Amino acid sequence: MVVHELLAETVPGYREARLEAEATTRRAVAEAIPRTTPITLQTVVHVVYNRDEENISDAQIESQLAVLNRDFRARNEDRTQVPDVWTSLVADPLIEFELIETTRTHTDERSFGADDSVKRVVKPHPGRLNVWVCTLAGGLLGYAQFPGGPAKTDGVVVLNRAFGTTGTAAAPFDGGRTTVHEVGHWLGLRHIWGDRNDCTGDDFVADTPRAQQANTGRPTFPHITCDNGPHGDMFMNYMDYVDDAAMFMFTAGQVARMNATLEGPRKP
Amino acid sequence: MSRWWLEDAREDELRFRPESLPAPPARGRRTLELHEDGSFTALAPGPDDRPKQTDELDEFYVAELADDQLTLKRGPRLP
Ligand SMILES: [Zn+2]
Repeated sequence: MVVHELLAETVPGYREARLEAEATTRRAVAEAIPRTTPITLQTVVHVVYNRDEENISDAQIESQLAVLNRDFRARNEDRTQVPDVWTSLVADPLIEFELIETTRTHTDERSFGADDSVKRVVKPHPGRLNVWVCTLAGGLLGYAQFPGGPAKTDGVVVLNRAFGTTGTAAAPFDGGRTTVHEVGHWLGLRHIWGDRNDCTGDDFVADTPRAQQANTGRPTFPHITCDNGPHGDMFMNYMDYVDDAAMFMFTAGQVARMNATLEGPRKP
Repeated sequence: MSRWWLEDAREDELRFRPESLPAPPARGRRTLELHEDGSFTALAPGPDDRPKQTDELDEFYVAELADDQLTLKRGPRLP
């Protein structure tokens, strides 16, 4: 049920392409002229279903687009819960999403693993943000592909029960934030603890504090790790692992990195 | 034959359920592959959220094993 290693690492040229994408992104961050007008990502949603209830409604898809268009414009009302010490870091990514197509495909598979297999059922549309919505095994909420990966698997995959805010979306993942998190990865963002649990991890963003490991559930502020007191982990960041209702901000540094991705490896 | 286990709770003890039981969605869940000889391989979400082999649970050992629950406790594994 679980893939033992990243399949992508076995794809010829993958490492080189990913390293090149990272280098381009860092150059663009260094040279960036902040963008002042919104950019629109043309988005295709691929619903892949076995049981009828997995064939989610247009309303559920629209509810997810509404969350993306709210959170990637920093218009989410819950951003007022950001602790005072970090309110000056809250930034508007100036990214908007236009749903240009929805595909619906029946499958005999009851669930998919994190192995890109759902992307073979329906192929991505080139040059778009592709979002597959399906049932994932093992209670997995979703997974992403970073810039520089193979075109035939490019996009994000999200569990149908964690997609949007209505229909089959179920608490505590019914705030549409799984897709916000996965699109963050797709735009080059890393987890705020830097994917190492020993305080040496780096998310390649300067304004997010070091953190020891993922936070889950609904933590209380401050949660101190890695000598990061007095304010501790920025667990309310979209790139941590807390519940949907507990994440509500991107920082200016993260926005710069996403914009660099859009200027570089994901230039429309 | 190895068996797969999904993380249920993370406290002083870590609890896992067999993959044959329904698992509620969870963000950041870890999984274990329990080998026939009693050793295990742990997976945790990687940088893109795909499960990936991890050494995060190297300091834990299998303290209890029942049909519906596996419990890890912190402590050295037997050599
Ligand atoms: Zn992630």
